[in-house]
Amino acid sequence: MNKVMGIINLAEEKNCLSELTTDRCLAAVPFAARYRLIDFALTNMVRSNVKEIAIFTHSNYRSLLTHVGSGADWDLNKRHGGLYVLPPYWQDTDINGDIDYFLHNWDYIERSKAEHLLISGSSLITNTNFDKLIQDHINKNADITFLTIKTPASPALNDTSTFQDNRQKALSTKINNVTESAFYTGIYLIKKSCLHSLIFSSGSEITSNLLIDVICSQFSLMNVQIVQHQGYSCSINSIQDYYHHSLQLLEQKNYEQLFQLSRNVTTKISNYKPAKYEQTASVKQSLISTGCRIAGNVEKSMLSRAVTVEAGATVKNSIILDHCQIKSGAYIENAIIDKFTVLSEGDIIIGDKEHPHVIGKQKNVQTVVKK
Amino acid sequence: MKKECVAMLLAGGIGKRLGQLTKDMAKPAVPFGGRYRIIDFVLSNCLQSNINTVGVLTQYQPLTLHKHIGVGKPWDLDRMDDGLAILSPFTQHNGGNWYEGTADAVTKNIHYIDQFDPQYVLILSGDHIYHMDYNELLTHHKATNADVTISVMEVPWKETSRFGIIHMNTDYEITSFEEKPLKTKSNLASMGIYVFKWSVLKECLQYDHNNAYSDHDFGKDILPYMLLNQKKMCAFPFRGYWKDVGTIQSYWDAHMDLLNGQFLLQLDQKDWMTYSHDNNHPPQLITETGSVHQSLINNGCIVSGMVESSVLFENVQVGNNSIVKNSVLHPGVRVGRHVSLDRVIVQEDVIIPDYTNINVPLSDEPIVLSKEFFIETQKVGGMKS
Repeated sequence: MNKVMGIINLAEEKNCLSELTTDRCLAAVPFAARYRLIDFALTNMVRSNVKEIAIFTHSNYRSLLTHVGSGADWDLNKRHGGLYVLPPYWQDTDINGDIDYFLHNWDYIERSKAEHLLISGSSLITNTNFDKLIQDHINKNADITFLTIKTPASPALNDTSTFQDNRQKALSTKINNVTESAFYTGIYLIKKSCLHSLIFSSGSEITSNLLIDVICSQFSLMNVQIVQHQGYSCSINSIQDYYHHSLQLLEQKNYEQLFQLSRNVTTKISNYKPAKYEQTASVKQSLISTGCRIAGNVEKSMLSRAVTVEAGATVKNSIILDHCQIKSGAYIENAIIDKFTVLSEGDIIIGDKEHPHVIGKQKNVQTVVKK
Repeated sequence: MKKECVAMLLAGGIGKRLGQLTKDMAKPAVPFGGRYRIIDFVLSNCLQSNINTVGVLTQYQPLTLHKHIGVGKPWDLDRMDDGLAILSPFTQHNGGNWYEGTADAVTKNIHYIDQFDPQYVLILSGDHIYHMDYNELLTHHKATNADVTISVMEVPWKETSRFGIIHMNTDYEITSFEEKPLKTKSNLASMGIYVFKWSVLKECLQYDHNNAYSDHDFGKDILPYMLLNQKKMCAFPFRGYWKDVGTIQSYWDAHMDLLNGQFLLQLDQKDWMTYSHDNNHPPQLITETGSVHQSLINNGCIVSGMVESSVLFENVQVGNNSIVKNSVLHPGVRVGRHVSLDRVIVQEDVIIPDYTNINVPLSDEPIVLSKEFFIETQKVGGMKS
């Protein structure tokens, strides 16, 4: 079934996670103590036998490139298929929207034997396969099939941003004969021939730089289908989303739904030893990754790889990313601490439950922050 | 393709004294340290020492072992021209035979070694836990211009009866061997790690092959033969952690060493990483009711009970109101609710039913819980106390 190629379309994604996205794009943001957001899209595609995947990168993609590498960790470094990173066209200083990416890389897309393109962003977190989406799309001879969800994955989808609004409206009118509500997820399958005619033939009619808007404006001329997604999902579009959805995974029910047995999400492999809990450790309702050493108090928190929490340090309702050192006497509550940060005695960081305090990468904090 | 040194890794042993642990897999494939298998330590040493031509001699129950090492990718041994080769017994035009001893396994693969035309051959064992830079051994071997150099380490005087003991003079030259002596004047034990001049070893192997009275074993036959024939034999004193986890007790002890921090071998040493497979399990979840002290826990575990001084491999679950103490739980183990375990080793994918109570007193050797164990106990009416 190599009829489908994947496009992970980061061209229209906003770097919307404050300090977490100053140095990296959204797709490369660490998530759930082990992954980066893009892992979910990559895993779901590979699992659905989509083994030729291109990534449209937009900005700050250094850590993304380091992360995906040759694609070996997703089994994408094979004779057939593979992982292709397609950066912005360098002459376009002012690139906005993804249509330019399709135009500039059309030769690449044309060369592929695939007849359909599975397009996805990186912000939807779900652990699934797209078999039904692909099957339905082919069986119904659809031009476009959207993967939709019953409830909006994120509050941000309810906001009044016109793009979101228009897409949702178009989608709703198209499917108003469907009884249950269906919301846009950013994941859809499109026929290559249909994509070609959308971006080439209707050149003069193109009113937007975004493919999805062009699609919406041509809805009435196409065979559009939807497939409702089943199972756990959430979408990361703001730092609140990020914090909220991360901490939700500390509920065993949610954890088990997202990380179902025998359906592991694939990521870049590291080689840390198992997490070490010392005699003085007190850990409750937390997600802990390998390489951690815990001697202090950790409650309702998430520790990424190789984090140290010394005896006499406290971490509560917080997300600590790789290689941070929380030294004796430090106190952290309602916060997100980015990689390689060292917090020592006297560092007290207390954020708000709705607005966690965020500390950027590699900071040597020597301050008391209270909100 | 010419290589200076080729490593031959002996990984076909039965490891009888590990009993149930090696019933279905070779000793080098036995899980160790929460995420590794024993052979990972020697393969990681090869990577760190830049030894990149490694023949792995397998024979006994090799499926798990073969699956684990594959083409050697985790250790960068998936190389274009050399790298890792699995050398299992094979048939030839005139029939075929099993490997009949450690030396015989190498003899039957002389053609493998010869294709690299090496000056030196390093003989390693796939069932030891240690960190060692083989280049130091090789440098020592070259400096003394020995025919063979044996890596040795000091062991406690009261334990000399467990080892092959070596006597050497001040120039590191070996003067005699003793096999497991009760009383002796040296406490230098052979670690089963040797480097040979290939030309000399090849000659000895060919002689040994035709000797009907030989057991074709390096320690028992090849080395004494070399001593008798006045080959130059030297010792290389090694300092550091080295353990042959040959018995259930020493296997369990080594895990407790790891937890107590007495293990000189630091698994997270940045300049000497130990590499292994990763099965991509999600991070571990310690739930509201869980509590963990003095333990090593790997990915994919869900802990809702109490875990003390234990090692949990990947994908282990411990249910509510259960207590796991001083134990080693292999991948995929499910511990039910209201279970109490102390001083046990639980094998892969074993399900421990609710209300099971197995506490092994300090005076006894830790016990291994296998799938068969629970079938047996059900027959005799359960093991609840």
